[in-house]
Amino acid sequence: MDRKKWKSPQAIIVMSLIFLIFLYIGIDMAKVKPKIRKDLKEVKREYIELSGFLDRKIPEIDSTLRIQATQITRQGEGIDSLNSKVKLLTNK
Amino acid sequence: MAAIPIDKFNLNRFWEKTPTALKYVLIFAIFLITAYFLFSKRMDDNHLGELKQMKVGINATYELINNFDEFRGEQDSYNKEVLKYLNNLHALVEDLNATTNRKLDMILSAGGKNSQNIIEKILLLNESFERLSKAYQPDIAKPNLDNNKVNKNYQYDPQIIPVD
Repeated sequence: MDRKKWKSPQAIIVMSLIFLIFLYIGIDMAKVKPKIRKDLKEVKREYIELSGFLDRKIPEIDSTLRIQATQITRQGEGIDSLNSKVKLLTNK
Repeated sequence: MAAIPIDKFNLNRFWEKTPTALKYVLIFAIFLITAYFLFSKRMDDNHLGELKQMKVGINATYELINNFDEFRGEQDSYNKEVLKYLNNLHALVEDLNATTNRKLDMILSAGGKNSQNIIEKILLLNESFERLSKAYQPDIAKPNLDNNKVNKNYQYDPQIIPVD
């Protein structure tokens, strides 16, 4: 009786349903997981590249900012000196 | 091949004829797919979203650095222009001062002749210094970084030698 049940149409429908559920999960995981792994590898590689790039660039940026700070200081000094000179000559 | 009587479909009878073990497996499969949709798939989607965001962040950093390189070039040339402008202006003031002194020497060596003419010249020189003071001070005090103000306002004179 019980053996007959396993071959009944109801059992076949339920088995196919179960099979479809597992198949869906399997296909979805097989599709998504490698994509995540691939993306993760890519991002990791890009991060390493970016890290190297920043290691090169940050000192450059730092020195640029220093140079520009010096230039601005020199501009300020130039403006002050010019102001005092013009003031001195105007008051002569 | 057995046919299912759909017109007289009865869920109780359907379950009765399904093996018990299979019922448990089906329930387990339903739980599994529900959990998969609730947690695992959502987590995977979040992971993908995070990775996408990270890529955007990396590209934004590269863009920022490139923009900084452009800014560095522009700012550097602007600063050099301002410094050159200030040096030339300084040279101009020095030049005017030297001219004034020369003229004063000439006036003094004239020995009191043409005194009215001399006074007019002195007044004229004072006026030019005042004008110079008024004309250049406001612009120098507020340099505008956006509009290349130096290039607009300043006409470079190669005859004027900058003073160190």
